[in-house]
Amino acid sequence: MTDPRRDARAGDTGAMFVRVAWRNLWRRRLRTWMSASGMGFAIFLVSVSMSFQAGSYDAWIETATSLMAGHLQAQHPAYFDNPEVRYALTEGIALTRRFENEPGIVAVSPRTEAFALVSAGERSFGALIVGVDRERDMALSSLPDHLSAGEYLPGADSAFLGTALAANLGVDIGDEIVVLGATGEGGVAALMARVDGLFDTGRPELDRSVLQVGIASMQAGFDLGDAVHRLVIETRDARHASDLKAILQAAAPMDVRLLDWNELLPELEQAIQIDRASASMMYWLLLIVVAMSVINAFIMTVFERTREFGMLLAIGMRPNAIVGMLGIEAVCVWAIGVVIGIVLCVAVVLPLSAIGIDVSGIEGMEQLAAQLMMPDRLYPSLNVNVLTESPLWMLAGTLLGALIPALRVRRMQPVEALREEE
Amino acid sequence: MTRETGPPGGDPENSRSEFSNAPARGRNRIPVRLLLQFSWRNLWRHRRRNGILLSAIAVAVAGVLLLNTLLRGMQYDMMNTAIDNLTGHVKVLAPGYLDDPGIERGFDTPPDWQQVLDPDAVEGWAARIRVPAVIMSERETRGIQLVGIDPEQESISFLHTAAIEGERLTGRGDRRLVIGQRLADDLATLPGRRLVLVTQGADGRTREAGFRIAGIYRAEMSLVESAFVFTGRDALQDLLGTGDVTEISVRLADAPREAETMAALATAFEDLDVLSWRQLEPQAATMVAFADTSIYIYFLIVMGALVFGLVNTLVTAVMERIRELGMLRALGMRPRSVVAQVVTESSLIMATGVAIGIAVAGGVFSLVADGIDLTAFDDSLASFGMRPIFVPVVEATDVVLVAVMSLALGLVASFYPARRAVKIKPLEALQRR
Repeated sequence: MTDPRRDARAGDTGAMFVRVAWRNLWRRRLRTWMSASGMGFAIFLVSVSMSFQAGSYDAWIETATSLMAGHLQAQHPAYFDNPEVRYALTEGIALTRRFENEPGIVAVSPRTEAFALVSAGERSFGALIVGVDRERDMALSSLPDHLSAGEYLPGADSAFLGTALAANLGVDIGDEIVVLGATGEGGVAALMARVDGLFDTGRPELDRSVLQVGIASMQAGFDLGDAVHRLVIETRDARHASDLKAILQAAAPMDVRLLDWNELLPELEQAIQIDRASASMMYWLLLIVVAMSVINAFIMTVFERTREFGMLLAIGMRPNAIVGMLGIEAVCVWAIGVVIGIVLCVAVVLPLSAIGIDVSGIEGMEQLAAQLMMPDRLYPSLNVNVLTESPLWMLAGTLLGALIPALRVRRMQPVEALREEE
Repeated sequence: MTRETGPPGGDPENSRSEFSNAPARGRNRIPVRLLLQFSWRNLWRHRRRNGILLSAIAVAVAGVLLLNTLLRGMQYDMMNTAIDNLTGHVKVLAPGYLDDPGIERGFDTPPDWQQVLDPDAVEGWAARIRVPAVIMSERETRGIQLVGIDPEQESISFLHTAAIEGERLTGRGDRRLVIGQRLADDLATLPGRRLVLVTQGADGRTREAGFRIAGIYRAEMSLVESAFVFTGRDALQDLLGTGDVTEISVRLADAPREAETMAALATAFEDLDVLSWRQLEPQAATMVAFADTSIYIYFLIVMGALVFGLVNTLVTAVMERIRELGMLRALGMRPRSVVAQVVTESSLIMATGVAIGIAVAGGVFSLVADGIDLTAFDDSLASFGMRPIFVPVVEATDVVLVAVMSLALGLVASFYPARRAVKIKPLEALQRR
């Protein structure tokens, strides 16, 4: 080791400590590389998996909300708990216009909804009838993108339904269907429509049970007048939907209730939470294992250098200074580990974040993805959070792991330490 | 080194019997017993450091095992829920029923068909009619699956254990309904009230009839509660004008002999499809298959991080003993005996760490074995097909797998340190100071 006293004369003490610590690292080249690689390995794994998490949560939210629910909805206060025809927003068109002019809102689509009996010839099935404003809904819903045959609501009396429902009814493009339901007052609601388009989302509960018609014909058939059941709202950023909800709710009339996607799709929010929780169990386990390896490396270091430390103490170096030097050594190892981990992570994730990973090829994954409303391609996303979180936790673990053995130095008696065999 | 002459920290006799499967490479030159004794004592020369290493291994092994039991628990739960929800392990269906369910895809059951089943392999079976229908209360209309059952056969499905408000169906001729709580809420109805059912008869004509509600069941998933409406099978056959059923569901006994049962059923029902739950519930099957793979992923990640620390310690242990090993070499110890010693040391640490890890995992497991209440995550778990309270499951093969893989990893990790040890030249090592 370089004589620290000479360095001390040469320059600033802090810089000297770093220089000495750095040199000390390379006295046990293999150990340093091993410790740093262990950290790098852990940082790499955690960062890569966090970038996939970040990428997939955004994609889950976008895919799930764009299908039907939207980022926000305005409803009659009672409709969410009791989706009955009579709980409708009476001033549908006026409210739509009003929300469309709010800042932060990209698109608004009014919808009417009712469960009803759909018949074709002798066959009848129950379905959710959804009345939509074609242009407005296309601006925010991905359901039209799942068109598998025909056209999306080309005429006033067109119907757009799931392939499974069409198969159950035994209808194809061009066939007539009859919808029979109940109005809000309990009267008979009826409307005729022509099957002009079919959709196939891969989600059986949608494909089997949803039928869209033009909102005007539904409002006429169900005696709704100008009323709507949901105003589906797309905001600029789904992550800030709940903030926007609070602002809109404050300004909205008394009989309008706003809901954000966390409330509309509680299972989505909780799927994300569960995924986060199980991933973080893994991260903690990794951190503990790596921190224990660091403790071990520093136990060995302190043990081997007992004589050296004894000498430093004997010539007047304060124990805390030695602990500090070991701390700097730990930070240096950590820094090498971070470089290894982050470089690897960026090298792996950066190309993938551009081209994405096709998950639909994995057997069985397609159905799973459809069920969980996940997209076929996953784009891992790199951001500051992903790249800093695991290194910072690792730094805490490393310092802890290094300081536990380093504190032994404070209990060392210079004379005994010097006597210790090398 | 001052500690070299210190007392051996453990009884070599015990250690020998515990780890008698250590490599026998040195047998020609050093007796296995001596080898173990050497290694055991070496480990005790650095208690603190080897103690930490042991703890790290134990934490890693215990962590991997516990994560795995949670995953296995979810896997079993998903499988059981899928099977409980009227699927069973194996189902007989008419071709095309899944794409277009209806009574016209029904079939009649030959009188003695159940003779093809091995009574030991089968827990039970149920023949049902399951057709789509529309259900109406005074106020609301919903689309549902109308299921005609023989209540005595339903010991194989969730209905048997489900809590019921009101009465259960008394027999297959019972012409009343049992509906789910969620559906009852949607329809704003109660036991004793009447509902109107609209469905399609065997002749293709629409049937509409009033039914009285006998009871309301609760299921673990609200999706189930809003989907299935039960009535007596004979009563439903009367309504539809048929003697057919649309499905036979078979639940297997504890050790599922699925392929065998499927083959037997295929002979009894030649024109029909015999499908396993994996085909009927592909989503649950995917999750179950994923759980099988993930133990390797967990292992590789955690033990991968651990191996760096292990190599570090082993190399240090070799480098510290350069003089000692050099002397042994000078006295005539063969290089392979040196290798054997390093490998034995590594394996001893690993084996001890794994044993402690398994013990710790067992201890923690016994605390949570009764189940962890995940009610806070209820909605989401239900969307995955899981129950709110789920029970971690230990599979002996997983524990063995982790133990074997860890020991293999210990061998791999000792490769480089052992090579370092072999490279030591006796003379140089002795001169070194």
